[in-house]
Amino acid sequence: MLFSAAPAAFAADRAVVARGAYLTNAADCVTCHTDVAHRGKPYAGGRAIATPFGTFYSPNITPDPKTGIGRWTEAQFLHALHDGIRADGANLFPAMPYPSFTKITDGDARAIWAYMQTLPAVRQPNRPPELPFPLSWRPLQTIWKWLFFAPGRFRSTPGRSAAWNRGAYLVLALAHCGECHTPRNFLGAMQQSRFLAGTRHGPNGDKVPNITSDPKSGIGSWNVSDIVALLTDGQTPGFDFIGGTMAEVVNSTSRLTEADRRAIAVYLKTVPPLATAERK
Amino acid sequence: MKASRLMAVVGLAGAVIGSGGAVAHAQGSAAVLQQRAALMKQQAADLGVIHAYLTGKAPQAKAVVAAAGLTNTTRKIPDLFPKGSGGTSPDGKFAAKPLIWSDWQGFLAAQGNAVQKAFALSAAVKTGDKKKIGAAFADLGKNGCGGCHSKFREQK
Repeated sequence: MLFSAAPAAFAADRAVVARGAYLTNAADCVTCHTDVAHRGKPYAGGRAIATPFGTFYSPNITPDPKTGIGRWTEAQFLHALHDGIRADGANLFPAMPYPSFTKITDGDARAIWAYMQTLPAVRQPNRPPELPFPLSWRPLQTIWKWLFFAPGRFRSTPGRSAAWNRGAYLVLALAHCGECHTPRNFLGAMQQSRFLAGTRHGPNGDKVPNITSDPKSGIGSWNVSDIVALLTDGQTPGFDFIGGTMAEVVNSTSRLTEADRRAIAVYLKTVPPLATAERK
Repeated sequence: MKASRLMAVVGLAGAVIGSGGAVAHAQGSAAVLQQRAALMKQQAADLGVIHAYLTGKAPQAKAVVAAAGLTNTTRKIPDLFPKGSGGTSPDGKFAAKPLIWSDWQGFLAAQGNAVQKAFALSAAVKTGDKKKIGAAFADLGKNGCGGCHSKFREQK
């Protein structure tokens, strides 16, 4: 029989793909994995990401079998997100935010994989990162991981509301806010003691703001609605409208549900306040 | 006056005016940065009034005035970005990217976009339809103001 699968199975598949599309937007994979500056195709990679160590070029994650991840299995995809290991067994560099994505639940990761299968395959070879030796030597990353990386899925905090836990999951795992907003040590690992306190040395040399609940250096004076307004329209409490890289992020956060944006705001309001010293 | 003396006076005058012009240009830059910041703050204030109307804290009449103000201030923007006036805002928070002048047509397009949306907001405010006004408000802010800031403004 040609159509052996029951219609219910198709409907279930479509639901998973739809959920995967939502989650892929929440993780905003498209922004790093698309070379917008050169009109690159979505998810085909090639975007330059400058860091203090050198410049990375995002890989092609379309289902192309030759230049993308078309030959990967679901298990290999989860291994990449959760453990920073490529299908060929090589370490990924933490420019790929696997230290945050390790927290994505297995179910969500599988839904993202299902969605990624539906993307148009694009033939575009990957560009290797521009790193000085020995930083470019991937086996060294095993030591970096031993020093700085602990794999593991997100765990809810009992005693906190459902909205807070949802917000924590979005911030820590999917939206990976800390990857830009948390300062890094000299070996490029996030300093968790300064979680979300901002940095002057963000990707591409950007200054990244402090979004802890500190009233002076951070967003402590913002209420939940203010944070939601920023994630929806890029609007600040003073009716400025943000630009820069965060505006690209708002393109994806604006597509989250209102409930998810509120959840992010609820969680952010509880992030411990950290002051940033003013530099003249 | 002899021709040579006239030439000398004209030459001297030209040198004085020329150098004075250079000084004025340098001072003009600082003044332009002040005026630019003042205009942007005025726009934020006008947006605030419209937002207050949307949340029932200000009367429609004030929102109409504020929206009209936005149609005027968005049109003035190119005048506050003369060539050579790149630099940091007086509060030290933002800087105008050189891209403004290397892609002047793109900058004018972004500004024109903001002007259009300001007019759309102004029309919406007059109808009193708060849902419509809210949508026009978000469109101006996110795509009008934000559309320019995302390309042409740097955060310091």
